[in-house]
Amino acid sequence: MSYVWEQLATLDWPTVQVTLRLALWTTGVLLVLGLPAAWFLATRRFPGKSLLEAGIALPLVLPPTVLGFYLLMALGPQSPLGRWWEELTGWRLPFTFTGVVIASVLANVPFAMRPFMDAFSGVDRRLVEAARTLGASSAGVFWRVVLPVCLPGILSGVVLTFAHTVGEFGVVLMVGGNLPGVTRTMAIAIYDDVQVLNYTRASWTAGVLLAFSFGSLCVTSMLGKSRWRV
Amino acid sequence: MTTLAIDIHKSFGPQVHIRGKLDVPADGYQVTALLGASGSGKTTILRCVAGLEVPEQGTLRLGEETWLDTAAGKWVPPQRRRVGLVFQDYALFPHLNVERNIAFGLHRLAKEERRRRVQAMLELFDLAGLEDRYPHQLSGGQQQRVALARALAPNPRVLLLDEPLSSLDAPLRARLRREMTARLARLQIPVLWVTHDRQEVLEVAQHVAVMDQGEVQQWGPKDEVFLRPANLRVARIVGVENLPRAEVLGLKQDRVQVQLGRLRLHVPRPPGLEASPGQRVHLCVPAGAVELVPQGQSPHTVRVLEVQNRGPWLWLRVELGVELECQLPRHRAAALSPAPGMELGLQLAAEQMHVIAQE
Repeated sequence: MSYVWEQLATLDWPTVQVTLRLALWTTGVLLVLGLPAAWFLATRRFPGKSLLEAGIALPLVLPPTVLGFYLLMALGPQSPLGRWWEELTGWRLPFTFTGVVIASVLANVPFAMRPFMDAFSGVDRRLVEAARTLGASSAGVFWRVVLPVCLPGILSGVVLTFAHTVGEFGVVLMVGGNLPGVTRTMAIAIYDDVQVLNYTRASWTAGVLLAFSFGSLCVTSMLGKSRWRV
Repeated sequence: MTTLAIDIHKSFGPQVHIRGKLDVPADGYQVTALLGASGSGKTTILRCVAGLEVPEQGTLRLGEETWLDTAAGKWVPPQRRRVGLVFQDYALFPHLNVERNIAFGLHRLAKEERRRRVQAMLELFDLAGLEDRYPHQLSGGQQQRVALARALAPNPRVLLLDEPLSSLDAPLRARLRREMTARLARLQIPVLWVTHDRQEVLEVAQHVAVMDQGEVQQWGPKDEVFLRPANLRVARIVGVENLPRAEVLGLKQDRVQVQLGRLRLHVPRPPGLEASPGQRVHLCVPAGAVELVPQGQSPHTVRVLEVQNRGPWLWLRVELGVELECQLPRHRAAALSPAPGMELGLQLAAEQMHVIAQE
């Protein structure tokens, strides 16, 4: 057991910290922005909705380097967006933690939005209607019926997003580079260790990520089964 | 006298139009049934009353209060109408136990009052001991009682039921129908009850509105609608067994003389019926108005065409120039022992018949 602790102590802890911070930020942003957006998409019909849904799913199939490349271009000082940000704040987005968070949020949109949207559109319309005839306002219906009924789906979106961000590689590397303590994540650290033939540390980092990912999927699978039955 | 006055037009696309005009008596316990086949638009009427659908045109009023008046641009949302609604498959909140399901509509009340009301509902609907169960842990009959208790707990002014018994087994259904009406009677609440089952209407309702092809065809007291249907469609929906054609021979103040097959009859003249001699009409002849007796006991004879054993009843098809269906209770059938080809005497209760002008 003490051997395990010794080996874990040799892990690149600043990198672990960056990874967790990135995952927390990404998950938090997607929860705050993604929930209302998913509610809107699940309950409204409008022209171009399927295009938007395809766009949301795009990061699932797009090579991370492609997404990363476009983001690097869009956030860099050559683009209007990048220039506007630089004028506003005085600093650039590429190769900063903020830039990586933006990239990671975009790359993780489907992992959060899909479970949120499935949960919302799975809500039986008659539950909402029953709540309204029982005197609940629109907000009351959302907080007292929709949200609790959707909770397992929302949690599984959160867990998936967090887990997927922890393992992020391509997009982060393209936009954030590989700055120790700033933008270097665990997945990038494994690549670095292998480059310098530090297989021991690479294998421990990989093992931690493997255990974590497997655990997360176990949690989402349990959440899937705990869906409310009638 | 308070009434729920409904006069609405709701369309779904250019093809489907639902029109409903009827008055629902809303003083104390009275059941008004909305009877029609599935797809006839009765659930849409119910949803418009609840405020879950918004009609394009019309008015909805309960007593002095206006819920909808499209001409004045007025619409009251469902949460402010105080109606109780029970869905066909109940729509209980799956994340709440029985107690909290019932308390859902009471969240604005003080805690003590809320508990008292929930307790009263648990007792009335015989749910004591099930407070902590979740909907998926209840039987169909229990779920139905919870749905009723939940809808009634906030003291709604009218209760709307959408086929409340159709997802239950037939034997259970008959028993629950009696239990349910007994409970609703104790609460003295007016009920609008959607159903496709005319037996259910006969058992529970005092008033009935018949819907067909998206329109309320006729509404009024149950006996009026069942015995004197306004048109052929209503007659078929309320289940009049025989609708033979007859010919008008003459009109009197309150009588119509008609030729039905080989028979001449004087039947009641419906108010407003104008018909000239020779005109063809339909005659509503309920199976109960046709009596078969041994030959010779009546001046009229019929020939038996078909006999079917239907348990306590014998069902017969007979011919007297037109064909009629009728029924004989077992003990009478034994004396007559009818068989196809046989001739029997016929007595018709002309008072129970009704003339429908041809459309």
